[in-house]
Amino acid sequence: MRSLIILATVLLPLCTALAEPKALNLYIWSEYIDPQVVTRFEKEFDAKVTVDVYEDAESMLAKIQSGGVSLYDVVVPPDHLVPAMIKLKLLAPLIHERLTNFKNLDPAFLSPPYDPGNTYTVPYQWGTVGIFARTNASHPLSFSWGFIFDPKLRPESFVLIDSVRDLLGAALKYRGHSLNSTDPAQLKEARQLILEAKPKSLSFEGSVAGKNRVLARAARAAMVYSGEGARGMKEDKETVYFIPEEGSQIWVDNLAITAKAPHRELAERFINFILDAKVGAQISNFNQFSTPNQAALPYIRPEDLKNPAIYPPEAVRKKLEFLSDLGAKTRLYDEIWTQVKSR
Amino acid sequence: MNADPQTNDRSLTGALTRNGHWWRSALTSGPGLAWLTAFLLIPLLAIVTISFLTRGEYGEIERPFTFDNYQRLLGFGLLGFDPLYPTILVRSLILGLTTAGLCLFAALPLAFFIARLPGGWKTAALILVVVPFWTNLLIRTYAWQILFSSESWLCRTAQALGWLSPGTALYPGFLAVLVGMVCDFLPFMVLPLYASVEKIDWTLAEAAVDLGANPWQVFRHALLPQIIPGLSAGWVLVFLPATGQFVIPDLLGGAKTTMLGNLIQQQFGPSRDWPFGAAISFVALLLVVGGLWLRARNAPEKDGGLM
Repeated sequence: MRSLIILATVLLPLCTALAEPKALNLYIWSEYIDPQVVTRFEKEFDAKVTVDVYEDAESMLAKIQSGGVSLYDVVVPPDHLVPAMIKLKLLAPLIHERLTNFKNLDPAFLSPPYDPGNTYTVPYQWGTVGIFARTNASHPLSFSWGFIFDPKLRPESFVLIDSVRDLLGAALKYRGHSLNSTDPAQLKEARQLILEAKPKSLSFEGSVAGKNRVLARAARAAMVYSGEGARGMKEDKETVYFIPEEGSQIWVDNLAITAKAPHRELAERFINFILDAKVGAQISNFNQFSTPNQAALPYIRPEDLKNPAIYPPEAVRKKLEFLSDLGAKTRLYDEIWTQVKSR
Repeated sequence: MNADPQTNDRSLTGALTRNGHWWRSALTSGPGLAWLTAFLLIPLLAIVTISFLTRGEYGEIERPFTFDNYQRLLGFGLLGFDPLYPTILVRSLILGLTTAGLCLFAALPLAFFIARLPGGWKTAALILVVVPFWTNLLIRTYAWQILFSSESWLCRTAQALGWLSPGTALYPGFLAVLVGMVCDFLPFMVLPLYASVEKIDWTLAEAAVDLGANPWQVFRHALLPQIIPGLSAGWVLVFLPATGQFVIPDLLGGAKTTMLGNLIQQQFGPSRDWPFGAAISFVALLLVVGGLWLRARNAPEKDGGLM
């Protein structure tokens, strides 16, 4: 009798597990995908999607590296981390025959230097890093990184972005250096700028939390990604997102499948679903980032297409720079980051 | 007891034959030992080993074996000397000590108060001490964030009374961190203290009063020695986790004041430097265990002398 009970307790969960619908584990930036898109995918493919979120790219890599590689199916790494993830064997090559919607993508975003031939990734969204600020205050706006780093220009309260390459990149740009500098002298200069700004700042926050601080009037300005900026502007007319005149960062986030994805086949179906023109437009209309999906453009809200915060004009785009993978030199950034965060 | 000493004796010998003894001790302490080996000893050895390895280009754990991580902890980094890490260590110890001190300060009168309550009220009071634990730590900490923000009634009252300059908030800040820490750790101090205070032999206090001791002398010589066990248990229970705490300093300090816990978390998280993280963890462990060992070595004679 007892063995029967044991058998039942062991088998019952097993049976329910087998009877459950197909599953997909998605690991993505917070507020980055329209929940309705996820629900539609679940209905169409009779699947259960579990969404886990992160606020900075390095934490995502750390989690994937320490076991997440066999836990998640689809991840959304930014361009500069893709080479590292490929070298660490964390990504699986895509099976392109299954990606029938691949043709929808804008050729300008295909076969990027960080993943030639799109072997491992397809572009998901692109955007910029800038400043989201309240306009109606007595302190005048200045459209420069000096709004964060210059003691004379910056407002009484501001939020620094809690992400190593984004924050150091902004400080480097302010001083006219490349975002990808590995020159110790330039990096020390950038570190100094951040260390001076830190005690005056409200806090370090991810992009979404930074936007919320400005909307809640806890901070006058925050460093955010373009989508958060555009969404914030929509929510509160007295705010603005701008790309500082010194130039800034342009980035592409990518859909990729982990090397040990537990639900491999569904993962590609999910990516193909995202690449659909209407789904792609729905996502960008939701998160207010820019789409690399050419076929989706007709379904994007016209006012968004005209919004310079989302689709910057050519003159501004010329001043934007991609982050690149720094290989062994990444350690310099990590060490500076530890020092900046710890002081 | 003495109804049939012989039978008793024989069964006892039977139980203690070598085989039976082995079997029994394996059964009773085996699972515990296996647990400790699998989940404490082996991971600890892994941490020590990793702390002597090198971080690969992309955050892998690689050979060669090196002392670099410990050198870096002493302040010799890639960009020259920087006394940052020793500073963090000291800062965390100070936070741990302050938290434990404040908890003690708050818990001592509380424990005496609860112990002197009539029967039924005691249980109610103890439940009240534990009730906050039914809410998740994160939720309690976020609640403090709201209470300490500049628009909250708490800060507005403080602003109206002139304790705070208008428009400013207590969050994020060191005071907010301390309040969060004390709220979180107070029960760990109250409960062991209460257990000791409950057992106090008050006749000793009466005798001390009769012999002309003033209130402080009564407390110092008649009561304090009796509650030392609870006090030190509470101190350890609060001081150790408070030193390594990183969630509360992060959430209430605005991620601006790094503690030992943040530093370690950052190495295993965004920085992906497991060897350095392991080195920090190991040094922190050594410091704390060393402190406890010193205390344990000095404690018996002191306690014995006082009792």
